[in-house]
Amino acid sequence: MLKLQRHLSLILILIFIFIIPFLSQFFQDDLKIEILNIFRIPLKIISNTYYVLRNIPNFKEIVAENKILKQNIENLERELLKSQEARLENERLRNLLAFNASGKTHFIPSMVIGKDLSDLRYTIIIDKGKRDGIRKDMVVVSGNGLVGRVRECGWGIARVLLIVDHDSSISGLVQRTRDEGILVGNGRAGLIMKYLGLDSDVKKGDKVITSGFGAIFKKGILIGEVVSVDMDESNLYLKAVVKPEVDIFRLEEVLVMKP
Amino acid sequence: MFFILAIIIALLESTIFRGIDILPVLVIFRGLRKGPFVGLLTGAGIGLIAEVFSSGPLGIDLILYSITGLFSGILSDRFYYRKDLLSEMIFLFLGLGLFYFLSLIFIGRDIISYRPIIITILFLAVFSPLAFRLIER
Repeated sequence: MLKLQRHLSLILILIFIFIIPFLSQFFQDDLKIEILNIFRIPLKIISNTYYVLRNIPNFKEIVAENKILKQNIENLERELLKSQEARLENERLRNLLAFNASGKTHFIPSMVIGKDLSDLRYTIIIDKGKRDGIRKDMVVVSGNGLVGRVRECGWGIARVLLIVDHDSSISGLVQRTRDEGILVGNGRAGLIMKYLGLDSDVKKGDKVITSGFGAIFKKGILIGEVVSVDMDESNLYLKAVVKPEVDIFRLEEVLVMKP
Repeated sequence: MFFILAIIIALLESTIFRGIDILPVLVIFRGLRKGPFVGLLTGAGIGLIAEVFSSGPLGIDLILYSITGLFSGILSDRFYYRKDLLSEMIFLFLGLGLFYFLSLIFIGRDIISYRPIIITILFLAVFSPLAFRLIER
């Protein structure tokens, strides 16, 4: 009798567990990230400690690099003054010709405080959320290159879908040849650019940028560099393996682009 | 206490211990030692913790960990499970094999391109029982 009761309980629990994915459509989209928000501070403490400890062996190089970077900043500030003058002159001339000026892009700097628990998914957790102006589908960059887009957004935390995740799909353009294709994530192997024409002249070393098609990624953001070009499985198109510009697996800080 | 430990492990796996899956190992051990019912409940509890720390549709990690815990409990009931090192390595290998196989199916990834997972499974199956024995002492 006890064994039968136990088996029944087991079956009932299993049924309940299997029903949850179907019931999940009735839950708020950002439920998981809002719960994860509770762990924002411990995640931040652990990741900051880890970054500091990871950099201790490279302390001397960091000091030397810091000196060079400070010098570069001074040089760049001089250049910035010159270009500001040129920009002001440009604005005056545009006003004279009554052109519409394009909007400036604002960035929200964020720290990477965690990653996806599963090794089969490629997402990162950043320490900014709705209260900092982050919204779903905002584009995330680092340095020169594209990192991904905001997939889920909580109050003080957000999850970013990386460009190398298998669920990531971006419309791209080969900068030199202007061939268009779709870049899909391929995990640790980078990205694959699909649907390149058979007459395409794409070569190893070509830079790939976002094409601007679709509502999410603006045109001109650098994605990566072509590593190899092959025929695809259907023999109707070429496909290129693209190495991301950004070192996706060693990110510590990112910038979220405000539209 | 056990689930607080699981939360701490999830925090560490999300930040420092990238590529080392300790949570499925915990579920399998619990299932092996306590039977299918406790294995299922432990899997469900840890599955809920994993849900919070991973992306993907709600419920997938819950199912994965629950099935793994249940399977480990059934294995220990059906086959004579002795609490010795070799048995634990074998059962852990089987449990992790099921966990990763189901992960690839549920998340929709190409199984063949994930052959390196065998190395992860072997590594965890060999070293986890040793680590647990050290902790228990």
